[in-house]
Amino acid sequence: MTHLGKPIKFLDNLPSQMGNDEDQALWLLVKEGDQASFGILLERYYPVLMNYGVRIKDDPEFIKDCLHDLFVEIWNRRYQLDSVHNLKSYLLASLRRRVIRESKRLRWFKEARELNDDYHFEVQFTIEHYLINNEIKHESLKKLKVNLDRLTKRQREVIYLRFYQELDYDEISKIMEINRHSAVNLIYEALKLLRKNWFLASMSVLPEFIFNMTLGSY
Amino acid sequence: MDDHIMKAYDLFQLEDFVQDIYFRQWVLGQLEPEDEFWTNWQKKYPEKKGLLEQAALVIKTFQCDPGYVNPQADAESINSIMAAINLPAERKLWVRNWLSVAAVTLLAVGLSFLLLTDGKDRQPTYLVDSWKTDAGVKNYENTAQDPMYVLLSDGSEIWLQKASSLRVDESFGQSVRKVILEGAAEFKVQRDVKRPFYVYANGLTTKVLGTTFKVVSYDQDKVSVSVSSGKVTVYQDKPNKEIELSDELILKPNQQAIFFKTEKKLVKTLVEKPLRMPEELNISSIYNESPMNQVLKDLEMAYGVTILYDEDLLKKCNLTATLSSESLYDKLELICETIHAKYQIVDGQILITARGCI
Repeated sequence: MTHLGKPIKFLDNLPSQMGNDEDQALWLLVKEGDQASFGILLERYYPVLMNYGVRIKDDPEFIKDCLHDLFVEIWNRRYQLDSVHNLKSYLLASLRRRVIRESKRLRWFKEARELNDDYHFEVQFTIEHYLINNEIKHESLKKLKVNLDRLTKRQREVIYLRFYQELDYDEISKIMEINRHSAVNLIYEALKLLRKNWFLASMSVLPEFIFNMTLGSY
Repeated sequence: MDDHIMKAYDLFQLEDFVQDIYFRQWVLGQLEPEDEFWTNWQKKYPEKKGLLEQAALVIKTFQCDPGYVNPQADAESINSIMAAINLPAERKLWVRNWLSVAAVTLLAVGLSFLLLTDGKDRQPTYLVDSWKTDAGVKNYENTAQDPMYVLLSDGSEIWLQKASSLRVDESFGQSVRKVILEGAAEFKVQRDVKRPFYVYANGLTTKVLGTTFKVVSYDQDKVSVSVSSGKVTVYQDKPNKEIELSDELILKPNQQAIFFKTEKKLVKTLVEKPLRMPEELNISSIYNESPMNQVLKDLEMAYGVTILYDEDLLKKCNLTATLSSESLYDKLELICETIHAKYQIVDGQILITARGCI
């Protein structure tokens, strides 16, 4: 069999609540000055934070610097830090704020260029990857592509946080600084885009794509 | 853990299924193979088949691209953060406050017993010593040639090899799962994320949530841990000392850790005979002028290993071959011969050094 252009590998993203008890213990130990625990925290969250940060601003070196400062600051201020409900979303929110703040600050030093839009979020979904890499003749798939192109950056970020980082709506709304209702709506609107037009067609048009998708075959 | 059974899945709409973590895990093949909830549910509600298929399609098609993934750079960044927080000024503070540090360590030990954070078992050796004299310890000894089968109270299975012994505390499974091994054994551990399973063997601790792996410690100086499925964390026991990050290794399927006790060295490598991932058996192995990058990616998927190579350099390389039942190493030999490259195993990964193709 052939694959979708090239196989896409997904990160090992287990649901966030799984590590919650461990996270709480880890956080307590970090607050008490335990370096080994801080190291474990870094190992656990550094990669996902890098992954998120680079999607907001496509400059790994810049995100690396932001994370370095963020973690050093967390360590230095550990005694004053509050207990956190969800460590992962706390870290994601802190990084997001810092990246946006630092990008703005950086802009002061640069020439005022085309930088009107403050906000970026880069993510590509499997289906987009497929549509881009294959010649699409079927009408409903063309329509789908148009619909997907219409997804806003915010919708993309919500989908990423919900399905890739497996966060719940309360956590997402805190990270993106929107209310919970808006977060829920962004997802439902995005899913609605997919609901119409293309299911029937996709079942017959994307045989390869469906190959691994038959239910109960795992 | 079983709150999904309470959910009214029969009332779920497409969007609800797409967002349900338990359903997602099933669709994405992240559930334990013996978990048959969704197969049974489908049988019970055959009229929902179409809806489930649509939901599964949405889940699969809305997967995000992997984005930035660079474990090596991340490890360097983590090290530099750890170095930055470890300044001399900080240490002085520690010495001055040694009393409070002692209190903190006590707290740390208490917490780690309570919640079992990764690698946080500060006194495993101490624990092992106390077990030796404890009356409430069950001792299994295999003096026969054939492996001895041991079923633990949590459902975990152990095949104790010849001339080996296993000690299990009577309180096993109540709040922690810990066993001590001398010799060699294969483990099939029941998944329980709340209670990690620890194997202590000759100075090396192996920590898992639920996996299949093997520990061999016949040699006084050498312990090896090899993984067939799931993830395993190993670290050397350091009584009265903090477990440092550099001591800890995370092993994935087909990886193996070897611990040299005298040198206190823990190295990561691949197992002698890497096996194909059961969930990736459908990966194609007939290549006709196929791009080498694709071939290597297929191999990575098929064996669940990481292959490091310069994608740009191999851009023009092709392979025409049928790769079937030969071992992973034979396949690598063949590939390397085709493109005049070399491969080596570094830190449990396969590194390919090539010159590129014209």
